[in-house]
Amino acid sequence: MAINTATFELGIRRQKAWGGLIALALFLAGIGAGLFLVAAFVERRLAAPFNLGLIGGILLVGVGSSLAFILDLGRKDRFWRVMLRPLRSWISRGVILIMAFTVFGILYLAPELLTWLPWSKDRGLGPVFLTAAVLSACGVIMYSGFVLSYSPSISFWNTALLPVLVAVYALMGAVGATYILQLAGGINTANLQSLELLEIWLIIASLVLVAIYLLTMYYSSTAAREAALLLLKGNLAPLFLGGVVLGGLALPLVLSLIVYSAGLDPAASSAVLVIGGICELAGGFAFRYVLLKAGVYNPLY
Amino acid sequence: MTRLGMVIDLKLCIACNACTVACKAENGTPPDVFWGRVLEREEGKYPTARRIMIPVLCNHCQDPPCLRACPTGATIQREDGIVDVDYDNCAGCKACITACPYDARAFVENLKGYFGDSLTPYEQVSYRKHQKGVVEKCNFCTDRVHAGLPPACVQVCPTSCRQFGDLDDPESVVSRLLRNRNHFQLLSSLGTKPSVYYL
Repeated sequence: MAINTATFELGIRRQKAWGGLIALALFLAGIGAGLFLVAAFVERRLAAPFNLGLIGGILLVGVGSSLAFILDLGRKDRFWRVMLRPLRSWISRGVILIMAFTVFGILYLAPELLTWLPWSKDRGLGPVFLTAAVLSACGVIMYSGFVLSYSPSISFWNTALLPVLVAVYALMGAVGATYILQLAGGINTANLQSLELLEIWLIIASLVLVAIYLLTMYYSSTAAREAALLLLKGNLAPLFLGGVVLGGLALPLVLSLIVYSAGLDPAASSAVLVIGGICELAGGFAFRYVLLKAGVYNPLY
Repeated sequence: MTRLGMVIDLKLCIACNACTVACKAENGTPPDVFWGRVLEREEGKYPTARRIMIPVLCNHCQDPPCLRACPTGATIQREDGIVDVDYDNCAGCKACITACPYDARAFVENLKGYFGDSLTPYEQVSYRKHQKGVVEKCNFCTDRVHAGLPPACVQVCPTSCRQFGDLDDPESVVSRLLRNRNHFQLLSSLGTKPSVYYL
């Protein structure tokens, strides 16, 4: 059954409501929250101060993702209304999680600037704010998958696998963003390079999950099959196969494996990892974009 | 309890789109915004080719996915079963559009007229009911129903293929039709419990 675009034609129809801005909002939310989690992990486990990652994560979520979402609204002046139904709407839950993450993240970092505050990052309310920020960051990462998977009308999204895939993608991109920030911030790379193994496993997990996802969808409903074919053979194939699979997953995997196994000097390995990180981020955005664009409604009849 | 619904006899529909035009005339919807339309598709090959025609509109589901997706509470379900949109509450996030399995919702990009930039007197009046940047859908012509009239698409249908009434009233025309004829609902497997039935 072919996908049609005509208003008065019966068949499989593509969703046109959500596009580039929502893809950007979901991408920035995932990357930002993931970046915060990775930075918190680096600080706690690897004992390397990484405020840049924490601040970057908060900015990407609190400013970047929120702005992209607001810009997509038909009535931007009514933005505040979208958080009114958290008991039933994943968009409401997501916006509340984003706000919670931003507030707790700022409170955790505030003593770095405002030294008179009665808590620090390690003492008093600091660890409490960190825990709250980490929990809400996990929620932000998951929500972008749930907001799509709770749509019964589009079977390509309506699967429990999607939140998992989106979360793994967010963490993978976050590690890539961490490499870029470490270079920009002039941070000692010695500690951060222990993230390489995590990165390799995340890329492999993403590749496997993408393959399982497409295979499941291909043998699922008619609409999901058409959506999968759109990615593999249709007009989204160049972006999916070239941008998401080759550029966003295969190339970073090869680069990470080279750095991990070849034992390059720190400067060279840092440069290679940054290139890999940029590819992952570009691929991560392309992934969200094709995911939205491949959303097709189940045929009515 | 009253549960308003519609029954559409596909054997009678001739895809004249009178319902589509009546809906636009009654509700004054902007260009590219259709609350109801007739979908068509040709199937098979000569000599067994046939044309399928299905009038579609909001199904006013008993368990509407659009209601669950709406983050602002703009989508409401009235006691009589009509699912409506409160434009003053809608932020235009379009979550309901992606949630609706029937593609029955439309986003109002702008309020341009049909004949260029200047609005006709009819459009000037009818556009007062609409807002730019919000999502719209069929409301079973609520104003007409309140006045005891059937929705415009039902009124205008030249073959009377559409019937409207209380699905909970066993003596209503729609209930009798459903009792006596084979019928189906669109995408009933999704569990949305549509209030629009097809014979």
